[in-house]
Amino acid sequence: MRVFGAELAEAIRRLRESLPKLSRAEGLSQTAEASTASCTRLFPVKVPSLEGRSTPAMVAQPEADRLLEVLSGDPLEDGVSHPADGILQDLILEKADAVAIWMGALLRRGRDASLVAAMIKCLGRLDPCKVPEWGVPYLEEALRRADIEVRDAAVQALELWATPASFATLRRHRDPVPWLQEYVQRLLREVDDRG
Amino acid sequence: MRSDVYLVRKVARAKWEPRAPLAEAEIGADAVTADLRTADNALSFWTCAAVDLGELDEVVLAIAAASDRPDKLDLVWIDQESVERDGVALRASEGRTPVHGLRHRHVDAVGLDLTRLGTLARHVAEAIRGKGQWRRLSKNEVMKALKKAVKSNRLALPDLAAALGREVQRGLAQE
Repeated sequence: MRVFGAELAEAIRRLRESLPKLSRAEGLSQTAEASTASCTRLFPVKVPSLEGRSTPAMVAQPEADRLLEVLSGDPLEDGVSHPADGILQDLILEKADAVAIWMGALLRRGRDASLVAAMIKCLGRLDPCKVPEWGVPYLEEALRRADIEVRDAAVQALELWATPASFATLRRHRDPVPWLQEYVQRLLREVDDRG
Repeated sequence: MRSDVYLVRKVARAKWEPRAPLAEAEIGADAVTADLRTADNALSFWTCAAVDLGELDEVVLAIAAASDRPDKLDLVWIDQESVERDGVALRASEGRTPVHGLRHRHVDAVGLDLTRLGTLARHVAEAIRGKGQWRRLSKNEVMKALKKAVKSNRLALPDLAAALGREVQRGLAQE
């Protein structure tokens, strides 16, 4: 079974609302056990695909750590493939739901905006047909972040996916920074011109 | 070196946006360490004539053809004469691009120490924030430049990185 988009959106909303209540010890560097406890508490919505397995945070933590380590060690550059591309792709293919939870926490609580942006760019490099169903809603949330690097990365990821859903998301976006808003408009004109 | 020349470099535009808690005029270290990464105390630039920014398309082609995937491209250009006047030495070198006719358009800023790197960072920040000397090309525009170059035999598909070559080939087939 898969998590339906509406359920996931609701789960994300609950997580967002609950985050301020968490103590600092439950941050991104938390132990797997603490993560598990947090996730169980924060996600009363059932995640059927995860039943009978480890909890999401426990599944994803080692790979997530590796991903962050790879991205921290070698900045991701436009036009250049990065080892993190393959790691994230494999991780999403195997554990999309766990990655959704982990990346959601990273987006909302990650202190290094450049690292979050790099992760989003990595996500944008997924083959559009392999994008999990939480992908576009996740980027829509990224577009609402205060840091421009994060928003810019989300715009780029939506551009790369180039799906009706990603362009619809861009169409709804109003960016406070003029050059980024202009770029979004330019992308949409390109789409409209192509018909 | 000619005086009416710009030095062009790929950057990530968003990294150069003023961001709290830094002041408006300050330059974030992340922008420098990510976009002005040196090798052997040198930094790579492509050149184009100031009088004809259509020449920028040539730099777009040189950089895009050397990429291994088709992403959007942010370019900044800074005035070569000002850079040299501020103590940064330039040395012509062959650029790494499969477009043979563009390799001569490459220079390295050499002998960079912390001060000179800071000087370059200031030039880049001023160009982006104050002079509008930057341009973003969408993935679609990058692909157009590559397809045009292939069609006009300036660029051979096998010379591109495999994944990029496949995408350009697919794009050409759809035309």
